[in-house]
This record gives sequence, C-alpha cells and structure tokens, in this order.
Amino acid sequence: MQSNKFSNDLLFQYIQNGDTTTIILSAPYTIGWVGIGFSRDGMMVGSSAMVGWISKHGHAKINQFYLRGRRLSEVIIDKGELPLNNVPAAVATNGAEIHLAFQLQTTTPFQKQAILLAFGSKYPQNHHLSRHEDKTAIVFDFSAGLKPFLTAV
Amino acid sequence: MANSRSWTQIWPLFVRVCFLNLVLNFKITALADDSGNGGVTTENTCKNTNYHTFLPPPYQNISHMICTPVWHTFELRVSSICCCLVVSSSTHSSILFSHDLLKPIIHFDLVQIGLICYASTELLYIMSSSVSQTTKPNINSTLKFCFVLDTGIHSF
Repeated sequence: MQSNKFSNDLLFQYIQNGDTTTIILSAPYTIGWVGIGFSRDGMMVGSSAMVGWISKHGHAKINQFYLRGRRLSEVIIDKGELPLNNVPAAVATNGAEIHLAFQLQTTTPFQKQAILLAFGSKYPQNHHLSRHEDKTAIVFDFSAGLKPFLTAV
Repeated sequence: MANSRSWTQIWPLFVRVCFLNLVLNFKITALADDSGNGGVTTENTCKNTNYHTFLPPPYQNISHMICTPVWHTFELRVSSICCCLVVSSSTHSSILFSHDLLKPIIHFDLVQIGLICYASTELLYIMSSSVSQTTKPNINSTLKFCFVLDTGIHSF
C-alpha cells in the first residue's frame, strides 16, 4: 500500500496491482505451427516463444518454448523466460486463421520489444518443433498506440 | 573514316539499349518493392474478428485491444492494463480524472473502494475533486498531479 498527500489535504491511497499485458496473435493457418517470440536482441537464440498449433487429431496446443540454440533439439518445450500469469494461454482456429492468446505479467510495462514471428508447415512431433518455413523479427512498441482508458469497478 | 562512320551508326543503338535497360531496371525494382516491402505491412487496419465465438475467457471479453498488422497477414493485438485500488481520501469524497485536463474521463467516488484500470503508461490527471458527494466537481479549481503507474504518484 502506498499513499501520497497532495494539496487540499487530499490523501490518495492505492495498491498497484501489477501490469497485465494481453496479447493475441492472429495468422493464416492450415497445418503446422505459428509462433511469437520475445527476444532481447532480435535474435532467435536466447529468446522465449509462445507456439500454437492444432494437432492432426484436432487438439489445440499452445506451449512456451525456450530457444536455447539454432538446432531443433535446442528448442525446448515448456521452458522459457516469459512472465506468463496464471491465466491459461489459449489457441483457437476460426476459419483459415489461428489465434494465439496469452497474458504476461510484468512489474514494468513493456516498451519497445523485439518480437520474432515464424511459422512452420509441419506438425510438432514428440514436443519438437519442425524447422520454420519463414520468420521475421520486428520491434514492437507496446507503449505507442495504446489508448488510455479508465473503468471503475 | 570507316571507324568513325560505324561509331556514328552504333551510337543511337547504344543510347536506346541504355534507355531500355534503365526502364526495365526501374520496373523490376518497383515490382520487388511492391512484393517484398521489407516484410513490413503498410496497411493500418485489422480484420474485424469476433473473438467471443471461439476464444475462452478472459480473452473473449478484453476490450480496448490495439491491433496492428505486423507481417504478411499476421495481426498482433495488445491490451496492457494496470490496476490501482483506491482505498480512501482524508477529506475528499469524489474525484474527476482526465488525460489532458480538458475532457473528464470519469467521476470517481472515493467513498467506495474501487479499482482504476489504466491502459498505458501515459499521464493521468485529476481535473478536480469535491469534498462531498453532492457537490459537482468544479473544473476551474483543477488539482493537478500526474499519476505514473510504474513508479507511483508524483505531485507537481
């Protein structure tokens, strides 16, 4: 609990409840996997990614992967440094699109963040991703374009 | 003389070839730019997707998501929310918040314990405050302070 006293004897007390960033990635999809990675330097090695796919049996899967190296064996499922909160990540298809949704809990809000985007055309097997068909790295400014709003509960 | 004449005959042809080469190169460059565009999508709009039908809660209920086309037809939606719980005020019972000190956003009743959710790190101001619930906030008597989510509240 923090409190501050202002002019006119206004005492304002508050609890900061942390920052939750909700992210939904939408991409065209038929088979394979789609991933979004968070990197410190824009490079794949050392980054953590959320990867989603629909299995051959129609099961929706989304997992965090730690990209320890460039080899497929160094892409490790259920590892990573993303500050996921306790809200389960979700993946769903809608027509020919896949949607990956997850929440991150950070003490300091994201600012400019290197994001990796990639997709593969083969289903992950035995918790191993296939090599990506295409990939890119962008810098996404989370602070820009976010319009402030207020709601009282 | 023979050499001079043949150069005179070749020169217009050489100029035409150069011009043709220049035009073709320009067209190829333009086509490459249109198709590749450095991997950046220039469109500034996203598809109007209704998440209520296929995403589970809480993702289907999140409003104020900002959408940006990021790569090919990939779209990234982001909503960043920070919450602060207002507990009490020693003398004031209501407060009026604003982003720009011009337009009020919400009239917040401090008697009730409430939650303020704020979607970015931009500054937030109190436009005015009142000492009783029945008093309408007076915008002219602006009490100004800035509200920075990651470091707390700082008064000017």
